[in-house]
Parts: sequence; structure tokens; C-alpha cells
Amino acid sequence: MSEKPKAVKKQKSNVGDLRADYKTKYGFNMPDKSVYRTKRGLNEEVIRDISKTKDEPEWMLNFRLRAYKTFKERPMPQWGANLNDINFDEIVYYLKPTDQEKRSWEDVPEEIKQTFERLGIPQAEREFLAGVKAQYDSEVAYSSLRDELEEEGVIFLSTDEALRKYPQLFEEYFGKAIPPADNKFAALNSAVWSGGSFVYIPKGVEVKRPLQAYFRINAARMGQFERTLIIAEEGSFAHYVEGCTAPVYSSDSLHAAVVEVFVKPGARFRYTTIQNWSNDVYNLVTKRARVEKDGVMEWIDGNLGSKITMKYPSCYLVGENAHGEVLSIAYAGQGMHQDAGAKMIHLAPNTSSTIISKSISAYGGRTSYRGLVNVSPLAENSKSRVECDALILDADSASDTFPVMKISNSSAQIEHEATVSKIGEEKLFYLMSRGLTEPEAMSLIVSGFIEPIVKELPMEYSLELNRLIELEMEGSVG
Amino acid sequence: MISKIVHPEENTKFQVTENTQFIALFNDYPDGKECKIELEFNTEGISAEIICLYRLPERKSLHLTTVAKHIVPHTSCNTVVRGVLESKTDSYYIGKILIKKQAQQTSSYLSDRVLVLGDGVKNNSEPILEIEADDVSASHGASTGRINPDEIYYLQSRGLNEKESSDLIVEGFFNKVLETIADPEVRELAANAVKS
Amino acid sequence: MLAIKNLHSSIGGSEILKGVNLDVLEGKVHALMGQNGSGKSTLAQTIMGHPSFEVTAGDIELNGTSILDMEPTERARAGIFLSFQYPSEVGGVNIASYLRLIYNKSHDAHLSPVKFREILKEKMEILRMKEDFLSRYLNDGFSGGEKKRMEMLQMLVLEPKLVILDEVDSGLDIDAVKIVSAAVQHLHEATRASILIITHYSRILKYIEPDFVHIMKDGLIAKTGGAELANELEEKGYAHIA
Repeated sequence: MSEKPKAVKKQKSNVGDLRADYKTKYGFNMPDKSVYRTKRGLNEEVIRDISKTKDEPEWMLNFRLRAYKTFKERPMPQWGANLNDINFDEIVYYLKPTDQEKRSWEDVPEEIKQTFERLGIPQAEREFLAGVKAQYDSEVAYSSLRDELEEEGVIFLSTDEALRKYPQLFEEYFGKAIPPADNKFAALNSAVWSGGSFVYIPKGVEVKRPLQAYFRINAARMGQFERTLIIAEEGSFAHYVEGCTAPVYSSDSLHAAVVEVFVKPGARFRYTTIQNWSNDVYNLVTKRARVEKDGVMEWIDGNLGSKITMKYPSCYLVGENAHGEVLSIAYAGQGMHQDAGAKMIHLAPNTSSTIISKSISAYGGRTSYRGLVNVSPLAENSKSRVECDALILDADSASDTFPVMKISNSSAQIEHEATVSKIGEEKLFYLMSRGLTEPEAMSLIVSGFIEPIVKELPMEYSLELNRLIELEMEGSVG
Repeated sequence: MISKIVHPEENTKFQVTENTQFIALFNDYPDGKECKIELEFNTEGISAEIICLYRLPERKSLHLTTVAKHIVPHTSCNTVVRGVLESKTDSYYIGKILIKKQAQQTSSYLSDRVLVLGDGVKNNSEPILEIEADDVSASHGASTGRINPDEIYYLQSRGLNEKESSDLIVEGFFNKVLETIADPEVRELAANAVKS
Repeated sequence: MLAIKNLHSSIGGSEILKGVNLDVLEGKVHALMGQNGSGKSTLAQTIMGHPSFEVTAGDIELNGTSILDMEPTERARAGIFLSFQYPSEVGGVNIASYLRLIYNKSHDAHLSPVKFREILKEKMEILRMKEDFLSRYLNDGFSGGEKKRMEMLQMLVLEPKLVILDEVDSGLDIDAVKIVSAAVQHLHEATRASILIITHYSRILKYIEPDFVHIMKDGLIAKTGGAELANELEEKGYAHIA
């Protein structure tokens, strides 16, 4: 056994080079042409400014101010990853890139189009997309909705625009799944949120093609606080996809998003995220779904970059027979800590949940699975199954598993399994005996390891993900 | 392997220097008292087991923590917890496996299985893995649930009544672990500790 | 022996048996044949009293007394034995002591382990089972064939009056089918127990000749005849018959 880590030794020698070509491969840093931006740092004045610029209703301003108070009062969380280096005074809290939102592709500024090209979104792909929402800096810069969606009554807008158009829906749902007091970063987002998507699927409507959104951070020291609100009415179905690729910057950046999903009786909603933030970003996201009777919520969450990610998509199963699912992939490379997981709160009878987490740590990275399965006394005959598998690729990397099971109903059936291992010698040898190089064999094994989740992704995402894994493996052992 | 009874009332920390089974029984356990069993592996080539067996009577609570801390290379540990919960019991279990950076070639496993017999039960389980070495094999599994009704039905179809069936299943549940206890005297003691 | 009268049985609100009438006669061998989903296994489980099946109409009588209100335990004590298609695995329960337990309960006896071992030895020989089987756990990690033999061993130990074999030959090679058949034949000849063989194929009927063959379709007995009906089925298929 001890003679093994040949691959490991090589990995060590190459750690420095790993992300050297990241910028040319994924990074882009367009000239910053933002029209309006707040000064660095946060105070009440900044919040009033943001709200005024957006011409928001009074109640939203008050909501922001109350949330800001909560944010100030709350101490920095001391569990999980180390967040103490975040300097809130260095962050720009609002940035508006173009004067107004554009509806047609022709109107989109050329440099943003270039950005999309480098992201690998071919023009033709739009044909396949139900609607494209792309966030350039803090606000939605481009949005297009297919006519058929509009006809069916599906609303897919930037959250800012939706607030202007559908204030009554906001008063009913906004901040109701995740109140600002939930945690310090949800409070911060509530105070300074900007951009994000609003999705409304009317009763019985099934949206066949995924709704897609691309978010990016493109200004140094710029905070990104998008806010997404999704309402899936009774018996509806939709799949929302968001992907991130961030340019490389030396200074730390903060991404603190809030995503609220309301799944009504018999509705099914799938929310897919693939994030590849550059490794100077703090990615602290609160995602929560409230799932009613017979509803199904699926979170598919891929975390590949960032300096620190703390993200635990959760399902509050409030109606009978509600089902929650989280499929999560985390990759932590050099200087990264992926602290990701899931929460399932069973609050009604016959509710069920599944969590499947696959993590990979390499080049000194650390992955932590942190999860909660909570079965309340009311949740008779509930079932939950959790599977966590971690791969550690070299001796400098680490992995943790912190699941919590709180079961307050005697009839609950709960299972949790977790494994931590390295890539098996025999597997590597077997593949190399068939003529593969070591990096090829490694990337094949790693791809196989995450395949159960990757196969759930839309095709273009799974291709991109596998390509990323290949590049990472080449960088390590080639 | 030697079998050693651990008295869980004490906050117990052991340096593992020879292959040992540490067996904790809870029949005389003071209600609600915190207890911790911590094994530290500082000698290469050593393997050990932590075996915790309990049958918590009505209205009692249990607070148990086990730690398997691997510091040097080439050690192994198997933590096995089997519990049966009667009505209105509370169980809090934290099971840690810590593998330090130098502790290559470690294998460490934990299995926590709880059978719920009564109503109004609260069961909290936190199996934790903190792994800082790569050439290791570590896993944990935790499950909680009632007896599978198909098993009861199967045994009923062979003429046992419901109570007899569930008693037999509970007996089997503990048996699988009891049989791994090397010392016959300790095994006997453990078997008595989990009798209803 | 067993009289099934206009039996309706449902699971999770959907009706599977839709008025089954069937008489299993004392000392006779009956074969119940039918395609997958025809309701054969539901009938077996309903006779044994599986808690998931609800009898919504009709009756099952054993020697003139309704058994519908009886627990599975009582039905077993009354002499009904069901060989499960998918026996449960009961971990940690030692087979030797389990068999002695169910023997003593069913025979109202208090045999010592040594005494019981003598009885068991003969029964295991019929099934060509080795001694080391007894130190294993009940069905725990058993292969399909091992599970079926374990069912047969329990049948021989309990010495029931009515044996229901639910797909006992499925997944067995020909040698194993012969052994299982020999065990059933042995019990049948020794005690004149009634036998109800539930099967998809007529294969096992080559080794245990039935007195009656019933064909089930859509939750009802569609046809009843003698042993020749099984042969006819073999030649012409279900579509032709029912």
C-alpha cells in the first residue's frame, strides 16, 4: 500500500501550476463600464441609495433596513469554514451595468456577447433554451422569453423587474421561506439584494425545456447579492438551471445569494446550479424550498470553485407526501474549502427525502459535507436516506462529514451512509493496463464517481463538467 | 484480541497499545449522564473495537460520544453501536472518526443502528468523519427505524405471536454483535445487559 | 379443508382478487396456475393474513370456521403453512434455536436442543442440507435456492395440515426442484397434508402430480380441471386456455 501514491507525489510538484492557465481557459475580465455603483462599505445611506435607484416601494426599503439591522447584530458564524477574513468595508454593494434591461439579443452590448461566447454558449443554443437570463455584474443585462412561455403565463424576469410588475406576489412570498433573520448572510442579502431571477409557473403548466440563467461576477471587490424567488403553482413542473464561471481576481469577492422556492401541492421543481467561481470568492448562499402536499423539490448542486463555499440547500416538507431531494457535487482544489450539504426538515406525515453527496478534494483542498435530517413529531411514517461519498486525491487534502439526524417521531425510517476513500490502486492499474495514461485513468475514475449526479444535468452542463474534471486531472498529474 | 469492559459513567480516554475490544454496557447507566469513550491510536499496527450496546428503558435518556482518533499510520478501528429504544426515550449519540495527517493506511469504520420499539422516541445521531490523510479507508453508517413489519409477519406465519416475533428480532439484532465479543465471560455479561 | 368463498382482496385501495371461489380438499394436491399479475400471490398472502391486504368481501374457512379474524400466528397454529416467494432475512437469529422454538410452539413441546437435533437430522437429510447450515442466521445472506430449502425445512419442522407453495420452484435448477418436490411429497405421504402449489410454469408438476389444476386470471379462477389441464397449458399457452 505504502508504495502507492506515485500520482500523489506528482500532484504535489504541480500544485503551483494548477490554476495558472485558469484565466485563459475560463477567465475573462472585460473592461468595467458600469453606469452606477455605490461606494465601498455599507451603511443605511447606501441601502437607501440602492432602493431609490431602483424606485422600489416603501415596504421594500423598510424590509432592507430591518434586514441591515439584523445583519449588524448577528455575529460572524464561527462553525464551519473560516469567514473571519471577509472585510465588509471593502465591498461594493451595488453596481448597475447598463441603463436599462435589453429584451432582444441584438441590443445586448458587444462585450457581454463576447463574454457569453467565451462561456461557450453558442448562438444556436438559444434555440434550445426556454429563455436566457444572464446577469452581468449586479443586474440582469439581457433577457429573452420564448413566446410560448409567455402564452402559458409563465413569468421569467429579473427580480427587480418582477417587483415592479407583480408587487402583490412579492408581498405574499418574498422573504417568507427565508426570513432575513435566518442567518447573517441571508440578512445581508435581504438588505442589499439586486438582480436574480423571478420565476412563476401557473397551475398545471409543465415547462419542458430548462429555464436557464448565467450569473457572473465581473468587478473586483464587488459583492454579488442576487435574489431569486420561484413560485411553482399546483401541479406545475419546471427545471431552472443556473451556471457560474468567474474571472480570476486577486482580491476577495463575496457572493451571498438567497434563493426561495415555493412548491405548491402536486408541483415538481428542479433547481440546478453549477458553480465555478474563481478561488478568491466567498460563496455563501441560502437556498430553501417550501414543499406542500405531494410536491417534489429537487436541488442539484455542483460546487467547483470559490475560496470558501457554504451552502446547504434545504427542503421544508410541510405537506403530506412531500418529497425533497438534494444531489450535490463538490470539488475542492488548492486553497478551497467546500462546506456544502443539505437540510431536510420533515414536518408532515409520509414525507420522504434523499440526499446524495459526492465530493473530491485535491491539491490541499478541503471538502466538508454538513447535513441535517430533522423529523418533527408530526411527521409520521417519514423516510430519509443520505449517502455521502468523498474522494481524497492526495496527502495534502482533507474531507469531513458532519451529518446531524434529529428524529422526534418513532415511526421514522432514517438511513445515513458515508465513505471516504482514495482512488483504488487496482482500478488505476487496470485502466492503465488498457493503455490509458495516469491522468486519463484518474479523470475517468473521477468522472465515474460523480456520474450518478452528472447524468441528471442538462447535456451541455455535463459535458462542461467532465471537461473541467479532465483539465484538473491533466494539471495535476500530466 | 482482549475484551475489556468500559464503565461509561467515567469520562474515559484510552491510549490503545494492544489489540483491544472496548465494550460499553448501559444497563446500570445513570439516567441522562453524559459519557464519552475516546480511543487514541499512538502505536502503529494496532487495531481496536468500540462496542456499545444499550436497551434504553421507558423515559430514560442516553448521551453518548465515541471518538476514534488515529494519530500514527497503520491502525484500525471498528465502532459498533446497537441500541433499542423503548417508549419516551431520548438518545443522543455523537460518533467521531478522526484521522490525522500522519495517519496513513488507517481504516476506521462506524456503524450506529437503532431499533425503535416504543412511541414518543427522540433519537439524535451525529456520525462525524474528519479525514486529513488520503491513503485511508473510512466510513460510517447510521440508521434508525422500527422493526420491518414483513419480518414480524414472516415469523408470525411460522406460529410465533407478535411479541415473540419482535423479541426474536431484537435478540438477533444484538446477537450479531455479541458474537464478535472474544471473551466468553464478557459476552455473557453483555448479553444479559441487553435482555428485556 | 380450505374453502374460499367469493373472496375480494385489496392492497392500497386497489382490488386484486375479485371474487375467488376455491375449495382445497383434504389430502389432495391442487395446482394454482396463472400469469404474472393474475393474483396468485395475493391469494396466498391473503390466506396467510398479510396485514397489507384487506379482505373487502367473501370468506376463507378452514374446516368450516372463518379465519379472517385470525392473526397470522393463529392461522399458522391452525395448520396453515405458506412457503414465501421472497422470505424475509432475519439477521442474528440462529437457525438451530429458531427451528426448535417454532417446533416447540407448534407442537406444544419442550424438546431439548439434543432431542430436537435428532428430529431435525432426518428432515435435513430429505433436503440434503448440511449440518453447518444450522449455525447460520435465518435467511441472512442466503441465495435464492438456499432460501427455498430453508422454507421447506420449516415446513417439515412445523408439519402443517395445509401447505401453500408460492412459486417455490422459481429460480431453482432442476436438481433443486427435485429436492423441494421430494420434501413436499414426503410430507404429503406421511401426513396426508393438503397441498396448494402456486406456480407460473408446469415444471414442478412433473414431480408432484396434482389432483386438480386451477387457472387464475384477472383475480378470478378462470378454469378448473385435472392434471391434464396443466399439460394442455404447457402445449397451448395461457392465451388459448383462459
